[in-house]
Amino acid sequence: MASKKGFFITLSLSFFVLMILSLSILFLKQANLSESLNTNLIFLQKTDDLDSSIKSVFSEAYLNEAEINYYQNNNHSFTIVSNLSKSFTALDSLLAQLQTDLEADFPMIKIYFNNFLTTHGIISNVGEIPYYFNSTNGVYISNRSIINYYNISLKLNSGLTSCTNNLLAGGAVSINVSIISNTNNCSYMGGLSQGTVDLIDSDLNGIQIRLNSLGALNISISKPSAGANYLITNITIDYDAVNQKSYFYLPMEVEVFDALFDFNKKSNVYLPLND
Amino acid sequence: MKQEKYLLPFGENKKYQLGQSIKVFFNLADNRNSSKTVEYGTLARNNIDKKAYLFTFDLLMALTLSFSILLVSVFFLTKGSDTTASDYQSLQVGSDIVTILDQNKILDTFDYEQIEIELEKLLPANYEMLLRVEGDFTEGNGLIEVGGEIPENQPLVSGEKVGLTDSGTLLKITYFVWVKE
Repeated sequence: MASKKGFFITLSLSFFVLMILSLSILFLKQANLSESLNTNLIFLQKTDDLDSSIKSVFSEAYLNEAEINYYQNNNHSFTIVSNLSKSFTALDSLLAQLQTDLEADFPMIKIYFNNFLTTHGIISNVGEIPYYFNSTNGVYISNRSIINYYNISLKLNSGLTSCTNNLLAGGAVSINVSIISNTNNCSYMGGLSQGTVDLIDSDLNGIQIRLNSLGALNISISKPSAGANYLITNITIDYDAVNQKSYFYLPMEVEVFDALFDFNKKSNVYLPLND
Repeated sequence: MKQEKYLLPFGENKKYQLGQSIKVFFNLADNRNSSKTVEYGTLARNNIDKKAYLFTFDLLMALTLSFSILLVSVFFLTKGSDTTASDYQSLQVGSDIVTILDQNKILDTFDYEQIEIELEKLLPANYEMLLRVEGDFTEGNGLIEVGGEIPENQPLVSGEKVGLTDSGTLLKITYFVWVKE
């Protein structure tokens, strides 16, 4: 009888000890998990801090130098205002310096300019609509199926001597053009169009607005020494209504890489939203 | 009560009856003079006592081991952790303050006093912070430090950000945050 009692006492105590042991292991695992979560959280916060501040530096540099304004009007159109022509020499120099300094100070950071140094443009996330500066002192917008029409307003810093509408029907996108100068004005309200609107200023230099059959828009200035305020372009792009937040970004990328945490993030430089 | 140790006599496999007299020895030495005669029942009870002692010892060992693991676990759960949720909170405080100072162009002034005034306005009462701004500028030979002194024996968190002045100077901003004692 005594041995049975002893057996049960030992068994129950063994269970008790086993319970404490299990609890200890649970505590240990929980402690490790908790520490791991905190470590990851802090790493992500630090990485995000650095990543977002670097992007902010690039967007700030771009907006200071490029002097471009963009407005999201509603869920189916945005407007970009820019003075032409532009020189991006100072911007390119600043960006190159920033890239060198940042990659030297932070080995986990890598900057990719991609085609930004040749286009210096911005892209709308909606429909990936690009607004690039071209080699003819003008701007270029690639055709996108989402685009319905362009509303273009040009303001010349000189007189307008000639304004010829060479637009034909049959294009993929509609275009409305309005030109204001020191002397004359002209405007065209077209349906689905393709072709050109050709302007000549008082210095006998040409400005051409070209819309191709697919809807790509190109504005070029033939005056080689066109100053910074030679022409003010105000282009509103109307597209199929979307139900998503829209923003603009630069076609350059910032990569954050950390081998220890097996972390890799590559993303574009977003521009702050304008109200 | 004094414990006595007995050894079974030779031929211990032999079965005894309760109450039967048997000779037991006090130690391993084969000294037949240090023996005494006891009843079998007394010997059996002594064996049970020995088992109880072993079980108790076993239990104490197990409890000691378990509580040791428990204590170590609690240590890891609390003070043993290198990083805690509080550190994350401190990091966010520092990050937010630097962002506000940068967005409001306070750092662009390179003015030690102005930066310190703005820093104190933003810093919660139970936190201390040191802000280090490095860059290619003339003030302080390109290094400005504003805020408290880094404590020697206190945990702190640090983070890094960059900023750009209107004149195009890149600022490398390092911040250290710790809880006031």
